[in-house]
Amino acid sequence: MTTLTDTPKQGFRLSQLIYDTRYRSITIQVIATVLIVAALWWLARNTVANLTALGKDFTLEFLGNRSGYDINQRLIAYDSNATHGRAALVGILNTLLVAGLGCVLATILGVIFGVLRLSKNWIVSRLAAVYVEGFRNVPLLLWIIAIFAVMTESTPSPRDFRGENPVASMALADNVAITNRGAYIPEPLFANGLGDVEIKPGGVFADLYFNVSIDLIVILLTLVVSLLVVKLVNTRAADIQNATGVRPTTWWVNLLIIVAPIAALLWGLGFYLGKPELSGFNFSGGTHLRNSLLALWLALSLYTGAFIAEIVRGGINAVSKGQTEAAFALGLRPNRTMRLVILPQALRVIIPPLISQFLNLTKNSSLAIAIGYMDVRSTLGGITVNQTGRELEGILLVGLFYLLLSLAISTGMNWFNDRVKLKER
Amino acid sequence: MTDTAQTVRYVRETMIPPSEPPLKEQGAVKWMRENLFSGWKNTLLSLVSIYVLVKLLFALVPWFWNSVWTAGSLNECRETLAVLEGLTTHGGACFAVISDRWLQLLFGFYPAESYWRPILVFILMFVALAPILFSARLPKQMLWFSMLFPFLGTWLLWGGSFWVPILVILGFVVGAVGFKVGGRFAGAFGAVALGVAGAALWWMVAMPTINGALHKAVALSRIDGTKVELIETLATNPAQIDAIEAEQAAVQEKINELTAEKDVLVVEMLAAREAGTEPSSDQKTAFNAIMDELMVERRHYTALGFTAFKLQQAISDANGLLANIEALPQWEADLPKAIQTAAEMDAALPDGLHNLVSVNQVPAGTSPEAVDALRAYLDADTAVLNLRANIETAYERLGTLGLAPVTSRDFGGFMLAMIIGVAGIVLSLPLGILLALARQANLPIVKGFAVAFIEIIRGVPLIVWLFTASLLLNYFLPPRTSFDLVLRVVIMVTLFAAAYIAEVIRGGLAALPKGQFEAADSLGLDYWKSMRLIVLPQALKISIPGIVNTFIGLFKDTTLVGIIGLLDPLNLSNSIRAAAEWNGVYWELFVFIGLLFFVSCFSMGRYSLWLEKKLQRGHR
Amino acid sequence: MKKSIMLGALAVAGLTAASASASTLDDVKARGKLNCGVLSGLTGFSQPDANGVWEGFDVAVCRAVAAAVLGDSTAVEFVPLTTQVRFTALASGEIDILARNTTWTFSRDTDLKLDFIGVNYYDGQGFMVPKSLGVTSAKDLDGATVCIQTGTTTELNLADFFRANNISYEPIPIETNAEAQQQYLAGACDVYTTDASGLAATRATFEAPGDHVILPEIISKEPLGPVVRHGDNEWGDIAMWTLNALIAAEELGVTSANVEELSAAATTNPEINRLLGTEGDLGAMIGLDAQWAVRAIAAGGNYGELFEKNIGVNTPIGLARGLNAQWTEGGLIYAPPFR
Repeated sequence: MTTLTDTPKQGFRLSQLIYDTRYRSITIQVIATVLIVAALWWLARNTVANLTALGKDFTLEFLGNRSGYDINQRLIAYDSNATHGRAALVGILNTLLVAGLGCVLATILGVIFGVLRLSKNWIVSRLAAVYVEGFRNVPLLLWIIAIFAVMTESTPSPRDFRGENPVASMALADNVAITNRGAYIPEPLFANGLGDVEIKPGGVFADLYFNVSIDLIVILLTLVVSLLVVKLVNTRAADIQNATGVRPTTWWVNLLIIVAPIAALLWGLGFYLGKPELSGFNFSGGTHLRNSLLALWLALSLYTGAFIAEIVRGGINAVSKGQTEAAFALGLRPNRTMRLVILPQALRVIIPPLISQFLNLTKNSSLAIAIGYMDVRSTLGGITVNQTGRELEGILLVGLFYLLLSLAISTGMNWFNDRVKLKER
Repeated sequence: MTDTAQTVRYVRETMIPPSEPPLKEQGAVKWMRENLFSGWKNTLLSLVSIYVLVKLLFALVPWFWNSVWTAGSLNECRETLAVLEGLTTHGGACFAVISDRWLQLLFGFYPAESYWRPILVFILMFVALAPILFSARLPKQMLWFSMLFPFLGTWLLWGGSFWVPILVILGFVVGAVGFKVGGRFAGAFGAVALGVAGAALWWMVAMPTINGALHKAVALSRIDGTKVELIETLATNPAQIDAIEAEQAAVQEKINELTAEKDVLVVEMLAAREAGTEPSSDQKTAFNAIMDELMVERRHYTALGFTAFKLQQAISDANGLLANIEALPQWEADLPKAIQTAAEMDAALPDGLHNLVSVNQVPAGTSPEAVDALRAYLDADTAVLNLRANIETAYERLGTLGLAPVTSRDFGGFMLAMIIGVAGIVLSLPLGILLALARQANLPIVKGFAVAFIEIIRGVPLIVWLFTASLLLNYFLPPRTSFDLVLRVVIMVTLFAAAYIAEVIRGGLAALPKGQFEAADSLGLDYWKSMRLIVLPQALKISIPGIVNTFIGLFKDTTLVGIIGLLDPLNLSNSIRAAAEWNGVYWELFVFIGLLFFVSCFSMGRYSLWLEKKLQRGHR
Repeated sequence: MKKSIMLGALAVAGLTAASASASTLDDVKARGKLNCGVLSGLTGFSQPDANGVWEGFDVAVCRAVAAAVLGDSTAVEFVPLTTQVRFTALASGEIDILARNTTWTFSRDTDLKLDFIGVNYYDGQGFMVPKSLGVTSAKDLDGATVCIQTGTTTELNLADFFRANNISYEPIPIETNAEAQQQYLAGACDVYTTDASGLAATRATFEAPGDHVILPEIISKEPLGPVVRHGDNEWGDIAMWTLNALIAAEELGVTSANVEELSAAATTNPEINRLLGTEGDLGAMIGLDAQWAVRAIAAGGNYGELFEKNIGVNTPIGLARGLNAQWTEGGLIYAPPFR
């Protein structure tokens, strides 16, 4: 009879690295790491060799040199005497602006057309389908160029506003001028404003100087304080409701708390609207929303909106019909059924793909150069790279910016998604 | 029973035929009531939609309706519109540009006599795709063709000797044999190591040698015949070109006459319009006839020009080849000497300078003599390299047995978009699967690398990656190498698509019930077997719609390659506009390109929908 | 030796190993083709026709060089390049000569390690405005909206000009000429600025060219010329003297029509004889045969013929010779003597 004994203990053998599952994963990872590090080292070595062979070095000093070119849309102070770094910053802000605006409008369009596509109205659902298919199946670059061109061809040029019998006239009681150079809308101005604060960091961040309007800060502060007070009032009302069962009417108090201080403040600051006026070649005064911004915004929103519409449609379809029927059985009206039963469930399906659409929109905004919108790809990755010949550094910086932006957006949206996600136990 | 029925008077004997529903409840009216005007909200929506639709149609239809298809230039389009319809440019489209350049928009500068090659590849692509797309209905054996297709397609498109794709495929065979042998003697690691090493060795060493030898053998065997042929080409072609040029001159004469005739007519008709009367229908017919004839003559002229161009090209090729044939013995004699010299110079170099590739790299404090020596060595080394390349190319040109080679510079238009899109997806699939598996794997470091790769690629716009391909890739490669832009773009697009495909497949893996993984484990399958036999077939099947959607996205994104200088349809439209006759044409080209993309993307999208539906059924 | 072996393997493995060789001339001769970098489309300067054959004023320079070196004006491989990659392509050996209207500047010639071999077109940045605006000088453009076709120097010149004159403007940068043209015609900008030759070419295609004027101010000097790599002087000489041969041919009255006849036997003009190789051996001095200039001229004609054929007054572009007339006619085009 053989007796069952433990296998004799052996020392560590080399073959265990391959055959023993305990060690194998370590082996694989070590090999993978070595291979990848070797590949990266090889690339880095090649780059260094190539750079020295060309007599170039890797430096970001060019960001501190005079840029020499002008940018039309600048959210912060900039002229051709500023540095390349400052130009990059202007571009970054422009990218953020169009991406932010685009995400909002794309969501709105997507929800509207997604719902319309499910409409029982034949012609409406067909038109929504045409919109969705048309935008989804044609390259975005083509749409951007086409929308820009349509906007310039279908609107009057500032010249048409001139003369005795102008061909075109301003809209909304002479407050808004829509031209093929963009829309001019009134801007808020303060007769006795409090001026600006200049923020001027030093050292490496010297290019990050900007002005903040004190008026704006004061208004925002007032608004925050008002909202806090409103919250207090509501808490008190809730307490009373809990104690007595009767909720005091608070809406007019709330309204007063919000409106009165702001109104008083605006009056005190001498608030008025600066209207755009025709002078010289262009309109002056007012805020100028350039056609390149509008066209890019519209094109990105329409294109991404078509994808979001499909996501919304899919999300609504994913909620089983039983849910609607159950809601109806409870006596909820269609509106409330949508709001209280369908949408919250649909949202859980909708949000994850929505995040990637927002990311796509942000990345797609890099096509801005096609219509001359000066985003970061056009300033830092375009003209600056062309001027300085620093393509390695320039392109790396642009890539890094988009990477960080994407990571920031996806982190933020994932956090939001975690909050609305169905908590399963 | 019948008796009673007859006796009871107030009971009907027969059914009344159902009466027609009221007018409001039938036919189109009912449909409209239900679908368009079922409530005030709906009515309003419908009316707004109809208004928008009518507005759009009124703006667009006349432009398409009045379009001009026969004209030689934008100005002639304008003329035609003005005399026939009394319209300006905005009144009608000038699609003549499309009829003139549509082949260019489809194929770029691909040689016209070889158009059959991309077309054949396009058709074969569907044959290759069919067993994958419609797996249920077609025999499994067709998959072999699908696996051959990438090599066949590449060869058809770029041309070259017929044995090159075979040699490349043999590399896979060598790899597979290595895998088997390695697996027998050294387990999984040995299998992978030996497989990869075998294939790499084959492609890097054996294949170039065999390829060179074959080319040389063929070249040597027919060098005399080729020489005779080339000399004959040189002798006969100039005369042919002269004949064609004479014919062209005659055609040009005719074109000039017709143009003059047309100009007279245009002046008459415009004068009539000026006077407020419509030109007579005789005049219009005459005008149209002249324009048609003019187009025929112009096409003839262009075709003649093309023939002459081809003959001229044959002459330059013949000249080049003859020069090569003459120089070959000299080169071959020089090569050993050059190698000798370079080796001597290398040996004579001071320590620490042997591996440098540029004099800029020398460490500080090197003596000027050493730098000079290095420079001299580098020049000698380059000379060897060039001699080798010269001999190699000469034999290749002389010994090509197969299709005429086409450089990727000539690729363009819609074909280029297709090639980049398809190559990107096909090449990225294996990489994407590996990345997805790595991301799912239980190995923290490998997983970390996979996540980092995927997120970095996905976090940066494609256009930045394309700039990397066109501007930076040369920095990352070994010094003094560079390869062609289309290939660089395909590599970049492949990496880009792989990250997206990885995410799609990860979704497919996640959608698979956990029981499948556990079942595979309980059968005692190892990791790769369980993946290959159980998990991936199911996960890939679920992922196909996602893959198709990624492909559609990628295909549309190929328009971006124009920004880095490749002649995709959009960039090609710029080249077409640069021709004096089409400068100023704007919308027509965009409409055509947009339509091309719409048709292909829309049909692919429909396929993916159909597949989604089918798969849903399959899972229930 | 390791390097060349590895590069050789790469070359056959499908990756073309291009190396900037010591002698471009030998490379070109061995290849039997001249690789020439051009713009992917600029009316009159380089554009492909319906057969995909490249034509234009810049293209003609490459054809002349190919004719001189290889005896065949069609033995040219044209490589369309974007603004950003043009110099990289030249430095890496992808192209042998860059004829892509590139402005000759100090830093390009020195820092970027290029060699400009001469000027084939003297250009300058100009402005075009609609006549109806009533603008007669660029200095009247205060507050105007300006469409710029973006390039490497146009934005800088524009910014400098307006800053120097202390007037304001609103730039609309546009990537391609087609879009800029469309914007300008729709009135989205008051002014269109790019190289004066480009303005003329663009204006020529308008429905009513007479409604637009090109302002007299030329705000920059843009000497455009072909470029070769720095360091290969032999090749640079060939390119430079081919261009000079075309220019001298016009001055000496040698045309594509009479070049055969003039080169058949020595003429009374010794300079023509030296140029056409019937006297002396100038060709041998640059590593070519005696007939090199004859072929270059026969390829498309002398400088004047090329100008008239591609961009001259009788073409749709309709450029006058202006600065680009021979020095004898008051222009700047001037070839050093052939002796």
